[in-house]
Amino acid sequence: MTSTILAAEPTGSNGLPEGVELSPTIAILAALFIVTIALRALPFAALRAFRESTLVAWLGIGMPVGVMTILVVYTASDQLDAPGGLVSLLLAVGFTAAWHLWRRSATQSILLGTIVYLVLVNLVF
Amino acid sequence: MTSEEQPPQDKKAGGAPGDPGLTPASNQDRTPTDNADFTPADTRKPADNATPSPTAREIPPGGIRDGIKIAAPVALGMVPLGLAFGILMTQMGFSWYWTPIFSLVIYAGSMEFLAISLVTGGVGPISAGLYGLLVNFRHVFYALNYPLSVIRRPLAKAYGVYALTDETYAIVSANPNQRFSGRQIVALQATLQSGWVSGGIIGALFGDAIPWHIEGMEFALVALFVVLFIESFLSTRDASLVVTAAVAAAVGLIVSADNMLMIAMVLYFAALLIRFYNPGLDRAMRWNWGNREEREEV
Repeated sequence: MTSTILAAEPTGSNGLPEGVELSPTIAILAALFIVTIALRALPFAALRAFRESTLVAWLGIGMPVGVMTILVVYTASDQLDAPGGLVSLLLAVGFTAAWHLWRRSATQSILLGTIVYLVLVNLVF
Repeated sequence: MTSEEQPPQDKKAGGAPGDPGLTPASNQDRTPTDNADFTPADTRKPADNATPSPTAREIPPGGIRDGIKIAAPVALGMVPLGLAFGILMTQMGFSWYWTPIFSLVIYAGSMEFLAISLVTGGVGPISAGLYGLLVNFRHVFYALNYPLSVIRRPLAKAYGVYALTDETYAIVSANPNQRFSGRQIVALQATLQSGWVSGGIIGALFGDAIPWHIEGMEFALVALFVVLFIESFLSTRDASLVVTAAVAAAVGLIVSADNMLMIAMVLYFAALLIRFYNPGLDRAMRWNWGNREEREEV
């Protein structure tokens, strides 16, 4: 969004920005690919060794709710600059949660919650 | 593409009668390499089916559609994020096709945004890898609740691991009572990725021509995590976990908003470890919320 203020950078060779070479770009992408895949894949191998462990069972119970809490805070904090700020966020989150507790349908809650937020951000505030 | 390949093969394994893919004639149409690929998998299937809990594994024939249905609203929410990424790529001077290349090679949203500055800043591959390690470190925890064993085809397994994003983990782990079939999970992941990638392509191609930027579409992700938070909370009902995670998140935001996810998740993970090794502390912290019976099933 802030980037739209800047003039677009010129494109050089290989469809890359001017001054950016192809081979270092491939090297960087390859490094990021390997790291990302390894972080996702290696724990499966590690878990195989600890399948019966009570620690893994406890982590399996405890992690999801904590990860979800952290992801709610993270994604919500990204939206604080929008019109209405914290107020529209809290209203829309409250609506989403209430609707979900009532109907227990993820699709409905996400769609309606988002519509409520869109109305708050674009029309109300 | 994996999702398109997946259904017929799985159906075949399940032995759906009347499926044209099952007839020997159509098998002969395949190239020799294809056949070499299929035969071992097919002979393995009956043994697989004989493993315990057959009823749990045999779930829904319409699994793929369910997977898409679950993921669709979230995928819609990922489109505007993809748009923002594609627009930024073009602004920085990349041709449009680099946007899908980035999104397919590194399928991790925040990492892709960082990759733009890494590439244009000209860092070496080793330091790029270190950045990747820091930004995506949280993914090491996601194997805990991803049911890799229900996905049977090796290629689909590989795709499942490759596409194990925050959103995927959230959907799959939220409710331990909800069992997904392998096809469903792969369909769900492919739907999410197509939302992200198509958003990126549209943004890269038409970014500046799109007159309407709908503010706030990104809220779909907040709503997703709120919904899945409720589901996962109702299955554990231990409010102390929520408080611990909220404190970890706050610390992460205060220490470094850019690295909030990694800081918060490592802190939370450490807290779980501490509780595990201190049963007394664990008992003291446990804070059960509500009665398990009061849960309403609609």
